[in-house]
Order: sequence, then C-alpha cells, then structure tokens
Amino acid sequence: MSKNKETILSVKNLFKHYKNAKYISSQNISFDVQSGEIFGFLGINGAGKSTAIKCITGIIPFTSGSIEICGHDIAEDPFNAKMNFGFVPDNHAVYDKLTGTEYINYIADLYRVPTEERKTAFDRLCKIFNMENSVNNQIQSYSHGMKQKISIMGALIHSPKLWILDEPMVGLDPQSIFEVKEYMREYAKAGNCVFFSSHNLDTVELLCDRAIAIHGGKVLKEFDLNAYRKAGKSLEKEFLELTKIATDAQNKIRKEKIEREEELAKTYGRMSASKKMVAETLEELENMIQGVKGSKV
Amino acid sequence: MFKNLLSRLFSIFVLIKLQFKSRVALPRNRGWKYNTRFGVFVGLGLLAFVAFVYLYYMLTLQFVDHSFILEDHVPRFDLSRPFLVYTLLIFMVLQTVFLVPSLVRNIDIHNERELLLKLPISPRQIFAAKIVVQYMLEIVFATIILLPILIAFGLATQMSVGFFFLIPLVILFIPVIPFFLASLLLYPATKLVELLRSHAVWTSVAYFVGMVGGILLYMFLIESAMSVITESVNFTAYLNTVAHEGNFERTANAIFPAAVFANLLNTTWYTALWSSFAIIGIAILLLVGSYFIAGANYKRTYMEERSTFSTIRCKGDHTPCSPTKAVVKREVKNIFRSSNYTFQFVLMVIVMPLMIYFVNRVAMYSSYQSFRFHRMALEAGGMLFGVSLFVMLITIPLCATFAASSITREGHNLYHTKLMPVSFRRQLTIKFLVTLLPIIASLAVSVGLVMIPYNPDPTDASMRFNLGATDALYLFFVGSIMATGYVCMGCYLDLRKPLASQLGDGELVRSTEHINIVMIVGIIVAVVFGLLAMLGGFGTEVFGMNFLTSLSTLGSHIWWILIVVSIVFASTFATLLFLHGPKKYKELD
Repeated sequence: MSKNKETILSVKNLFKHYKNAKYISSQNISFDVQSGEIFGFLGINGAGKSTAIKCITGIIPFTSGSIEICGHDIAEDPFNAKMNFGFVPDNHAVYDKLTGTEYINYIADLYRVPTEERKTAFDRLCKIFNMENSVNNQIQSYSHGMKQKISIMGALIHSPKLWILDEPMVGLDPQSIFEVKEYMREYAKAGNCVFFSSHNLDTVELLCDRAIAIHGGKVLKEFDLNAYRKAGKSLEKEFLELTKIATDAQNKIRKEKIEREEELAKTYGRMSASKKMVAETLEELENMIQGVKGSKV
Repeated sequence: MFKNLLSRLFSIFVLIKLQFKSRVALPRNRGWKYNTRFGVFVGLGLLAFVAFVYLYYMLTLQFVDHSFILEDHVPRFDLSRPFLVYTLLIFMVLQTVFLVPSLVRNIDIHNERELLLKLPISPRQIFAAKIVVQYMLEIVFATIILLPILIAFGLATQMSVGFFFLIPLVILFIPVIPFFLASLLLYPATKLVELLRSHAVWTSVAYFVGMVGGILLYMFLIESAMSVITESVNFTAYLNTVAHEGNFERTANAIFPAAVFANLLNTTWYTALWSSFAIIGIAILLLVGSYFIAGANYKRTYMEERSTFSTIRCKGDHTPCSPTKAVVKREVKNIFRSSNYTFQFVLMVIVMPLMIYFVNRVAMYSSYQSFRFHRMALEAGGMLFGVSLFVMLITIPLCATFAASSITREGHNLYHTKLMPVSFRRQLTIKFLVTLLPIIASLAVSVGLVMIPYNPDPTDASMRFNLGATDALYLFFVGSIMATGYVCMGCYLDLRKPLASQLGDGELVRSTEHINIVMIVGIIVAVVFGLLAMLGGFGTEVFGMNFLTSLSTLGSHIWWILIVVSIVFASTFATLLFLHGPKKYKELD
C-alpha cells in the first residue's frame, strides 16, 4: 500500500448481537479500506455480510467496536459519516411512487448537492447507466435492473468518498453488469473507494484489490487479490476450501448448542431453556468483548 | 371422444375445486387471540343480521296491516305482495352491484396467467370453471341473505307450506338476472378498472366522488327520513292513498323479473307453475347469454398482456430545496400518488366537516322537534354541543389512523430513513405534522360549519339553531389536542412494531393492528366525551336542580375536565413518541 493513500473505512472489533438471538451475528470483525481501492466482502449465505454492512452504514446499531468513515465515527458522528458514503442495498428498494428524476433530486436535496454539481452528475450518471429515456417515468414501472440502476445513481449523486454495495450484480443484465464494473474501476481510480459484497467470486477476483471472507460472523481470511492474480492462484478454490472447514466447525458448535438446549429444556422447559441459551450467548459475547479490549491493553 | 370429453370435464372439476379453495379461504387456527377476535366479529355480525331480519319481519307486518302507522278506524290494504316484489328487486340490484367487481376480479386472468396457462388446460376450461364457481358463490350469497328474509316474510304474512318449499327454487335462479346484467357491464367495468389502475389520480378522483357523493346521499336520506318520521301523519295518509288507488300493486306488477319471482311464491298454484316454467326458460337463455358475453371479455383479457403500472411521467425540472423540505415533499407525493393512501387519509379529512355538518343538522332538527313538542329549550341547546363533539371525536381518530402506518408505509425503504443525513426526530416531526396539519385545517372548517345558523322551520324566522363562538372554539381546541394525541399514538404504536412483511398499499393500510387500536380508543373516548358534554349541556333537566348546582357550573366543570384529560392524553403520547421513539427507531432493522 502506498503511503499517500488514506483510510476511508475503518472497522475495528465489530461485534453485533441481535436481541434474543442465540448466535452472535458479527464477532470481532476488523478491516480497513483505503482510497483508490476496490474491496470485496465475501461469505456464504447467512455468513453475516448484510448484518456487517448494516452496521457500517448505520442502519442498525452494533453491540461493540468502532466504525469510522473518512474519520467520522458512525455511532458518534452519524451526520458527517453519512455524508461521506453512498449505499446500494441488495433489495433495490427505492420510492416506487416517485419518478427516477424525482428520486435522484430527493437524494441530492438530502445531501445538499449544489445545483450545478447535481446537474452535471445527474447527466453523467444517466448516460453511463443508459437511463436517459426512462428517468422521467415513475419508478414502479421500472424493471428490476432499472431499479438497481436508479438506486446506484442515487448512491452516487453526492459523489461520496465511499461507495458501498450489497450484492450489486444480482438481477442485472450483462450489459448493465459490465457498466457497473467499469464504473467501479473508474470511481476507485478517481481516489474514492468501493466496498461491495458478492457471491460471485469471479467478479471479486477480477475487480478487487483486496477482499475478506467472513463465516459465522467471523473473519476467515483477508486476500490480497493483486498478489493472487500475479501468482495465478484461484480465489474460488481457496474460498471453497476455507468455507468447508468453517462450515464443519460451525455445524459442530451449533450441534453442541442444540444438545445443550435440549438438556436445559428437560430441566427447565422449552421457554426457559431458550432464554438461558440467549443469556449464555450474551455472557459469551461479553467475555469475547472483554478479551478483545484486554488484548488491546 | 367420450373419454376425451370426460377428461375435459374432470379438468374443469379440478379447476372448480382450485377456484373454490383460492376464493373461499376458511379461517385457519391462528391462536386464541385471533380466534377470539374472529369469534367476536362473527358473533356481532350474526347479531346484526338477526336484528336486520327481525326489522324486516316487523316491516312486512306493517305492509300487511299497518298497525303501527294507521289508527284503528282507517281501512287496511294488504300491500304484502308488492312489498315482496320490491324486496326481490332490491336484492337483485344489490347482487348486481356486488357481482360486477367480483366478476371483474374473477374473470381477469392477469394474476393467474403464469400459474394456470402453463398447465395442460385450455383457457375455455379455465373460464368454464370460473363462471361455475362464480354462479355457485352467488347462490351461497342469495341463500345467506334471501333465505332468512323470505322465511320472515312467509311467517309475517302467514303463507302456506308451498311458499316455503318454493324458496329454494327462487334462490337457485334469482342470481341469473344479476349475472346477466353483470356480464353486460363487465366490459365497461373492466375498461374503467384499467383506467383507474393506470392513473392513481383518477382512482383518487373516483374515490372522492363516490365517497363524498355517498355520504351526501346518506345524510340527505337520513334528513328526509327524519322529516318523514316526525311528520308521520302525512306519510300515513300518503301510503293509504297510494294503496287505495292500487298504485303500489300496478307498479310492482310492472317490475318484470322480480314480479315473476314473486308470482312463483305468492299466487295460485297454476300461476306458480307458469312462473316456474318462465323462470327456468329465462334462466337458461340468460345463462347462455352470460356465458358468451363474459366469455368474449375473458378472451380479450386472455389475449392481451395488459400493463397495470402507472404511466405518470414528470418533467425533469426541479428546484433544489432543504433536506427538511425534500422529506416533506416526498411524504406528500407518496400519499397523493397512492389511491389507497389518499382514500385512507385525505378523503377522511375532507369528509369530516361534511359529516359533522350533516349530523349537526339532524341534531338541530330533532332539537327543534323536541322544542316544538315539549318546549325543552335547554335540551335543544345542550344536544347540539354534545353531538358535535361526539361526531368530531369519532372522525378525528379515523383521520389519525393514517399515522398508525407512518413507519410501515416506508416498507423496504426504511433503510433510506436511516441512511439520510437528517435526524430521525426531524423525520418523525415531519411525519407527525403532515398527518396532523390537514386534520387541524379540517377541524377549523368543521367548527366554521357548525356555527352557520340553521332554520328547520321556514315559517318561523326566529327558529335558528347554531353553536356559539365559545362552543365552537372549545370544540376546535379539544379536537386539536385530541388529534395531536391520536397522531402521536398512531406514530408511536407503528414505530414500536411496524409491519414486517411488505404488501401492496391497500393491504398495508388495512392490516396494521395499530390502526384498530387507535380506532377503538377513539370510539371509547368519543362516547365518553360526547356523553359528558351532553350531560354538561342539559344535565340539570335530566337530574334536577338538587343534584347539580347549576347548568353553567356543571357545563364549565365538565368542559375543564375534558380539556385536562385531552392534554394529559396528548402529552403522554407526544412524550412517548418524541423522547422514547428515536430509541425504538434505532433498533428497527
């Protein structure tokens, strides 16, 4: 990493536990994303990618740890942190009743984008994503791919330093996938950074500079993909091997938890056993957080 | 060939079963809470229906011997047969009105295209199954409504056993005429639905016209009924004259399809026989006609792939604004571009002054009557205020229920509210004001209307009823505070537990239980406040001077109590919403 690169996203010891859940969704996740980088976030279904992204974007609060975007803590200074990123969710949810133009202008108003700047950005994005003809139509008449495109345009209208995407390629046609990938490269080249989650290992391998894989809420491994490409190593092969080992280990732990709950259920009844399991998970979480803090000291 | 026909018939039978299952969903066991609610709902419905049948029975008796409305010495005319004709006619009209939208939905293949057409069955078989199921449902509808009514009629008019035996024949064939009329209306109705679906504005306009027109008509009918009842001497004379001249009988005979069915039930055996032949002949003709007319429309829906999306296009011009203004504009657009949201909220806001005005007029009229006959001036004055407050407090929660879906309405876009660099408290304030301000404006119009003097007696210019400025201001004040409370309550309840699964607008606004909670609280408060205000108005007349010191003392005490209760209610929910709400909001995923 060259010295003039600045840290845009910094996640440190992130823990997230949902209320009344028997498992911890994010456990001690830490990573940094630098300017000019495209960063991949990998994991199988249920690995905890979306939960971590929701914590990073401030959609849900997290139990412990810290998340900084351009030096602004998302929990302490959400306003400035939010001003510095744009987010494209995996469900392509946008306000259906608005037209494309209204939606983009709405987002631009929220982020206080000056008139001239917004006009230039809007025209450029419309052209890149081929939306000139449909942008004045109501969003509810859009196809799945068009909704995704308008969502991407909304995330970029205020030219944020960090562009976060959750499964961005799902449902897009080949032409649109190509356009999004090209724009990601262009965006990162301009000194910004792109952080995206994906199941598509080929795309991640081709696009990203670095990536991390998570499993069961924990970081499995960080990959330097530039080095992988040079060495001709396969990300797919390594990722599959890693996740298989992790899945086996996780299944073993879950089986033990289920057996423990059954055991508790025999003594205390089903409801009480479930509550005790949650209490034990919380205790485990507390110990983990204390452990992390202790190791830091 | 026979085997082939049998296989086709079997396919139709399977489709009929499928249609029945999809259209008549039996209640599943969803836990004691749901079952209790369902049981109460069904019980109340049954009770209301029994009351309706009893009323019909009493009404039939009136048309037989007029014992309620005629004095003993006046000669009687048996009007039971024309009454039966009119009953059947009203049923047919109602069945046609309900059948058209039902047929539009049933015949419209749009939703099932992918499900059914991939199966090895022809569109003709699907249509046959649909039409059979529709007819069977109409028979069920006729049985539920008409069977108890006809039995009540038979008992009231002391009909022979033959009448009761012939009822099933009427029930079996009476849906034929509405069915035929509905199939004729199907094409224009489908066109109208297509137009409304593709233009949210048109849907809203149609809702407005229908609802406001309906309310005006309803209020007009109530007012007319009030004057007919109070002037019952004239009505009796009118009814007797009509009966004497045989107008009722002649008009009833001219109502062709209903008269034939009435003939079947209420004449000699040979007329009944001829009538049954005529009915069966007409039924076959009309059913065949319906099959072909509805079939043509079905073919059209089957052949065409229609778009149900809105075609709204807006120019790209936009004036940049502050984030707060942007959120307000987005909220407003979101409401006005959905016919369901417009219907639920804006319409109620518009309807509130109309309802208050007309109910007030009815109250003024009855006050005038009590003043005219009993000289109870105090009662006349007291009722007005209580009734106005009651109607206002019933309609305010109706408008405020919209707040009970304010977070749920965000749907999958909830993440936007969390991502935007605008504090949630500010967003919440915007949602709160967008709902509250139109209600306050509507309240202002309502109290303005109740201040307009009304003279129920054109011969006496001094006979003017209206609420004074103090009363009107009080109404406005209490109404505004309660509206604030209801809006805060609705928002807070929805914030605590927004609807997780995202449905369409229509389902969304109907399905959150918070709406029901706001409504129930609203009804209870309206009844209690309304009663207290009426007591405050004419309490001394009811309880006597010894019980209460003076009218003014009681009135002012009750008014103060109501103000304090309203302020406590509103401030409790405002505190919960604006202080506790943002914490709850953070936990929403």
